[in-house]
Amino acid sequence: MSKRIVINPLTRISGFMEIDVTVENNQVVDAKTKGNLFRGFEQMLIGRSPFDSVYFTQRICGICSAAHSMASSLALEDALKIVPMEQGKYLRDIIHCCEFLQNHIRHFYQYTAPDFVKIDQNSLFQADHDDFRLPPEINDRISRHYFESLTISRLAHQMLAVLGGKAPHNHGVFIGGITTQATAEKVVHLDSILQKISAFIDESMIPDVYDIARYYPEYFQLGRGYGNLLTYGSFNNYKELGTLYVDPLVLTAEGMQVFDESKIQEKIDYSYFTAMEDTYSPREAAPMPDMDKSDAYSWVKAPRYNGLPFEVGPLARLVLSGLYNNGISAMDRTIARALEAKKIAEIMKVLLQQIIPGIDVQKKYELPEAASGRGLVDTTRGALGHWLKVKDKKISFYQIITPSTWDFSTRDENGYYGTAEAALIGTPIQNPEKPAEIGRVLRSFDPCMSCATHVYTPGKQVKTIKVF
Amino acid sequence: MNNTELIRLQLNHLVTQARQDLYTLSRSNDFYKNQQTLQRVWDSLSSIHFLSELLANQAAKHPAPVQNSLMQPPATNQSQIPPITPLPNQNTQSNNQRFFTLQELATFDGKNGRPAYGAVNGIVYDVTNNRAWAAATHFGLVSGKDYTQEFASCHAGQQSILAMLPVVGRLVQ
Amino acid sequence: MNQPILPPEPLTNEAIAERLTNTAIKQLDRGLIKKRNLVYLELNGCSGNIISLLNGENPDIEYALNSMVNLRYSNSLMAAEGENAIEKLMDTLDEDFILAVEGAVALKNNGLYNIIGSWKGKPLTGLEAAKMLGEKASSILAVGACATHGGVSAARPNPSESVGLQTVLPEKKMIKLPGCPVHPDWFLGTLAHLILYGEPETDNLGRPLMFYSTLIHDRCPRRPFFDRGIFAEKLGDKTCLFKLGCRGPVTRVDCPTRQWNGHVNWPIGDDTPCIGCAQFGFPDAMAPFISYDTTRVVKDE
Repeated sequence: MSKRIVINPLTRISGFMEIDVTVENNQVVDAKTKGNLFRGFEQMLIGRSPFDSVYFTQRICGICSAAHSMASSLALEDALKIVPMEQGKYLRDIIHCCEFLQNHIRHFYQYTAPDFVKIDQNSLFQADHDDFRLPPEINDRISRHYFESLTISRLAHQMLAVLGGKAPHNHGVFIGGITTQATAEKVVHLDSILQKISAFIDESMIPDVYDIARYYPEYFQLGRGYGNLLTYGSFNNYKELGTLYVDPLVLTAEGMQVFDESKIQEKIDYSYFTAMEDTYSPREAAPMPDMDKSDAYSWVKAPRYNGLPFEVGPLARLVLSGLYNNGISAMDRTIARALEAKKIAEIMKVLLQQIIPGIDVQKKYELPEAASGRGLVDTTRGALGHWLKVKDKKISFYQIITPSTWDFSTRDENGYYGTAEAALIGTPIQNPEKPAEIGRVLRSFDPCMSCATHVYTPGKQVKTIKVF
Repeated sequence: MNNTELIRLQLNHLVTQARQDLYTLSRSNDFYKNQQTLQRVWDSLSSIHFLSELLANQAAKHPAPVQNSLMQPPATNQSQIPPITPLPNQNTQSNNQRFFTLQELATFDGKNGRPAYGAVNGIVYDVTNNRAWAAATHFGLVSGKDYTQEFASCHAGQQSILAMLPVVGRLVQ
Repeated sequence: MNQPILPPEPLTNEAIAERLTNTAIKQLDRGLIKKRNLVYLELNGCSGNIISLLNGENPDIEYALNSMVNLRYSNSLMAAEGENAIEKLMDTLDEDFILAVEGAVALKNNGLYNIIGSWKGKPLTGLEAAKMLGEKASSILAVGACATHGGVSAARPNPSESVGLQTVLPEKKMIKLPGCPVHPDWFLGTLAHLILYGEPETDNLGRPLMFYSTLIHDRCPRRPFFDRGIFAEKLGDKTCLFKLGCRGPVTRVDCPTRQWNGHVNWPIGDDTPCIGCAQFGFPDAMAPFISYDTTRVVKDE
């Protein structure tokens, strides 16, 4: 006897996602992740000044806006053939570190913890299930940390604003690095906040995640997915520092290989789009939206590498850099996020030590008549790519593949599920009336649907409304 | 820009401000606001007086322009630094009677050191340093064009805006 | 009831009862604020406003949740999920609540371009939710550029046919807090005013005067450079950013004085021009954000 469970909205994520699973004999046999909002950034960007894309694309997402400004700046640097100074790279990467820290702390406490920890203060925290296993002292301690973390994540954005002007939607990240110059007082300001954040990560966040792992050990077996991991490389390619975190790599059943960007493709078999081909590369024109399309169920497209679906994110990075080898599962993902926060704090410390104050990395940039470029950066949720083309000094084409598009992709005609869908298949559901497992597995990926569902191109009139 | 030009710019915009204030006074019945405006007119006049004395002294002592920018006139509480500012109904000044075709106007788009002009109702205005035309654009409109329609739909009943703008000529077919 | 009773207070039973009742009432009223219900709806947007809210310091979100409002619905923060969460949303309809909306309302396909949940097995669109809750809310706050006028969600060519909240609730008076994102102080300050003293004074476009009255240009620390015609030619310069496209002269909000993220910095302080994110018309009316070709080399300086 199969039961269909629909969770809509999946709360405590960024954006709107719906999850539609079929459960048979208390096990998930089919799963569909659906992105449920759509704005159309790839179309909006056409005709705008290329410089504007750095600020414009930030508005794709509020919790990872710095990531988009980074990818956009990198894409523009590629297109305009600009090589940023090392100091510019250091400063820009420091801003990126701040966004990582803000995101990981907020994701663990505000998004993840309420699944495992009973926070009693408010009706807002009234959960749907009663699978709370933590002993009272640990539960209360993490509950307190939930509220303490609000100050810490705030400080992470304050750090970002010291170099970036404001957060979210900062102004500092741009071509060449950042817009302003470092000063002695900014450097110590950053360091003083970093110390507080590092202390919190070490003394509160990491012990908390391991405590949760101790009482929910079955989650080390849940949510594995296909086990394919991918990273575009992170905090690497420095002239003097080399690779501080991880190089562009992929991991499949056949082992680890160097990442090759020509193998990326996007499929739209089950997404609300139609085109001449069902598969295309990021540099080609994007397809047309079609909410009518039979079998389609989500706005999220299906990126594939070498035809396979991949997982991106903190776990992928930690495994590919050799820093974590416990396995791939929902709990491993959550632990990886906390461990990565620690790693990022260390990277930021190294970068801060390289800063030379007073160096102005900005120039008066000129737009070429025509150009094309791409920016690939591994960010808070995983691999993010922006591809753009310039014609008559205006943007003529813009394509974005976000980490959540990788993780929450739709399935394809070759029979592969999306990564998160695959992670859910086989998950045992204790109580189908109160399925706590689904949300926990999905949130371990850190979904961002505002990012995943941005796509559009001029379309034909859509008539029918798709109701599932 | 040398000192005389700087002083002249400052004088011009003080005059513009004073004119604007007189216009405001003629329209307003608010006693306290009028007091403030009158005070500002008084201040503008004082500054104009000072600057004209300064210019006169300079002209007497230094026939050539001074290069030291430390001799700047004191900043007042005013806003713009427009060039020449005659009122539109005083079109007797010869250096403002240039005639522009639409193609010529299009070259004054504010880019690469060129001034930024815009035309409304046949008159061409200079908006290069106008605070509403940053980067020679105004709410998505690019300078160097005829904006009679746009002005009428957005600024209906706000002709005083045009009275503030320096005129550089007329638009012809 | 520790106060000494001074004669000639009557000591009859009725008098004592009355004193007790009055004291109880006073104790109840002693809390500075009576917490009100807040429903925070996210629609077609980036969720940047709630992230910005979490960055607030005066007051901070902890204070807001503990002492100002009962946050009844927020899909970013609440523990419940799926229809249980939507049920909590629907429960508020019969009570008094303040509605805060961020994100634009997508109109395309009858709102299906933005589904915020399922209710009784059918998709609940942002459009329906906005209308349903807007009709019943005692006060409405449109938070952020997308909710106030469409913002980036409605940028040309507006594929999702997104509009600001007022367009779908034309008869309702609402307080508009433009900004991309909104500054946490503007939102929490307005909320506080609403709860403590009622509707704040707004200008003719619905923006609270306490935050949105003076132009950035008139409070900008770089104004002396503008007045003297000393303009920056690239980002990173310390002089007036007017020629690069600064929208400070047309943006009415208190960024120069309030600054951001605990008063550490703001866009112009970061040597970049203001892009007018807190003014109606953002982003299309404020484009292009950065222009290098309108600067000119300054001689004789």
